[in-house]
Amino acid sequence: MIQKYSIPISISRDCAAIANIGVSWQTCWESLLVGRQIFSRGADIIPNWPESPPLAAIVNFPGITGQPAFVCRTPKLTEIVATEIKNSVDKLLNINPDLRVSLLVATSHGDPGPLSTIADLTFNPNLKGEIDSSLWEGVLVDNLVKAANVGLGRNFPGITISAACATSLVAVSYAADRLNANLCDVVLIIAVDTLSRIASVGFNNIGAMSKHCCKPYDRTRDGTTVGEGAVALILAREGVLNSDKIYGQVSGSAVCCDAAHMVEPNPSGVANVVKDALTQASLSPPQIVGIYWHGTGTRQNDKTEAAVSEIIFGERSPLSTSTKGCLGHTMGASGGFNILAACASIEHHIMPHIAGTTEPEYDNLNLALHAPRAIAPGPILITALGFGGINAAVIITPKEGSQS
Amino acid sequence: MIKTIENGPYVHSIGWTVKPNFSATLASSGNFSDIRCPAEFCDNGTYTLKDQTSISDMFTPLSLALLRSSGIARARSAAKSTVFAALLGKELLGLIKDIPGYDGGQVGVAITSSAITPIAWEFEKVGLERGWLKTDTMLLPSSIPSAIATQVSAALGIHATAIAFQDGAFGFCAAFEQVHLSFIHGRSQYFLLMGAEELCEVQHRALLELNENRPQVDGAAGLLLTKRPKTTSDWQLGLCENMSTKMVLPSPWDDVMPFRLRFPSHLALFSSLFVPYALQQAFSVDSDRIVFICEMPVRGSYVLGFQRK
Repeated sequence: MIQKYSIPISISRDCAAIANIGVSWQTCWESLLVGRQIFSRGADIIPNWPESPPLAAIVNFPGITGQPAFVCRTPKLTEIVATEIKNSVDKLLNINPDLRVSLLVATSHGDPGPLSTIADLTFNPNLKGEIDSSLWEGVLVDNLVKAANVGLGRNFPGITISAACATSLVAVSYAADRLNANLCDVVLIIAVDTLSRIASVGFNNIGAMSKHCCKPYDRTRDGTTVGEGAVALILAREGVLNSDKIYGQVSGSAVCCDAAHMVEPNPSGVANVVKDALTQASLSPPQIVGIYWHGTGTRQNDKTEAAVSEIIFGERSPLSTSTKGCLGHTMGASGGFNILAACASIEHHIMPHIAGTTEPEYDNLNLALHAPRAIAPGPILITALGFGGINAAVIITPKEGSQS
Repeated sequence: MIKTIENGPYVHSIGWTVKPNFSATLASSGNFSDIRCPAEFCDNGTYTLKDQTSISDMFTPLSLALLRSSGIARARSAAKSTVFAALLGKELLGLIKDIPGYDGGQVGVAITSSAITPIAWEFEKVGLERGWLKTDTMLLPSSIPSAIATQVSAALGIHATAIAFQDGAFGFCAAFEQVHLSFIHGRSQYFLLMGAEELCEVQHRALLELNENRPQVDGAAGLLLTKRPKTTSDWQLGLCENMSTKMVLPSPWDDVMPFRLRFPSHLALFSSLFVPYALQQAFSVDSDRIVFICEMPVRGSYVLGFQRK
């Protein structure tokens, strides 16, 4: 029997996000509301990138001119997003130096840079160069916790976890459990994934990438748009954040691995995590006012989520959206963007529409289309589905004491 | 002060794969000293392998029979570590599968491994040498760190969660906490916590280039953890903390002589298996409380504490 959280688990309004559509959470949110789409040709971003359909690549990196070298793209993005949240973390620690802060890096495929670069220097006759010790080290250790600490100017204890494309939500669930168990006061989650050749080529080769841009739940959808991004989230125990800093609260979360298929999701597995998250949050399906689905735009993902919705919500879902029409599929980081979007929806009573989608295929999904839609204040459900059958669901509620 | 863990998970069993056929050797609570540990640990925290595997052996592909016996679907496209973890996990799970009311939905799996590197290397090699369209699409799902956990989950029919921890030995230690949290929040009743390692060409070369002569071992090692004790003498997790320098052990843990495992560098490869190896040694002592400290240069220390009542 799932245990309810005994304290409110708060998400801070102070956060950071970097993606194709913005270099801060504020710009990303504004871009989501106008349905902004910025997709790029891989080779225009990273030299010698294999030919592929458009990618949701980060065009601008805060604090640097041009693109970081591919070999250090992931740690650099990790460091940058950590730098963006540094002041907020410093402020918390200035107020209370005894806060127990831990760091959780969430990534679906880690840092592909060193291995790909060594492969280039080994197998590509057009590329010559010495393989230095930092490259060799990169295939023996994951340095993302170190990169995050460089950006933060700290030495927080940290660990890196992976749960495919559900990694961010798994990290949020893990962090919320940690806080509820009073093992720490603050968990800083850095969710990050950058373009990797194996993901870009692999998704393309299995026909899972859209030729143009992903159109979640559309009849004409032809796949997802592989993207990259990073999010920094501060989760805290009750009393750590001032009331005006609380963006939303984690009231329920659940994770399972249905393991039904190596790459395809399973409706009953996803439905189970939604049910468990609702149970933990002491909510019934009709109380959910909005849903940020995983919504990748692949035929199988969207079909699965429509089936899940029918299992949980019956004939008609709560207002539903997907951020991937704008952000593309930022892999392990995608749930982090959706957590922030859910908090923003709670605050502004609005849900962004699904960019690019015009002909919805599933009648039971009440989709936000063409323009943002107003929602009542209340709990918002977020789901994520990962390779290998990892499913996760998180429920974000307005902060306690606010009108709902 | 390090915070103690209340209602921590219990250690039901511990085990590892043994060459040449990667069969599992297991020991359960009360009999931990019955199995031969593959490693030797010195008082200063250094360690050696009793039987060093030859490097050529480590590059040898696994037999079809072994791949099949692991239960891993499409095992030829999976990492060898996945096969090792499935072989060990199957035996550990066999110890509880006949318990009335056993439910695979209440069993989670956490795995620490660097096994994506061989898969990614193979993919990149083919892509660069023969063209990206010639790459094996079946390698894609095996190319992410969580693949080893999800593929083991599928092979063993366990579904509570499947999560991968990077950071080698530190990831293994951190996973104890994840298990604890899963149990106390009612998300699972049992957990497989395993490390799995293998060696591939690029990693072998990296070790040589960095003059790293750490003991190299391929296989899997891990524990079966339970929410409730099997016997009154089961070891129970009481401490789990990534220590900063200002932290101290709380009483009465501060009186315990710690069992130290000290890695020669911060590199994660080949570190995860040595945590369960060392824990088996620590659990074999005649004491009711043990403190295990895992140290890595640059990364600091991770402390685990276990007690029995």
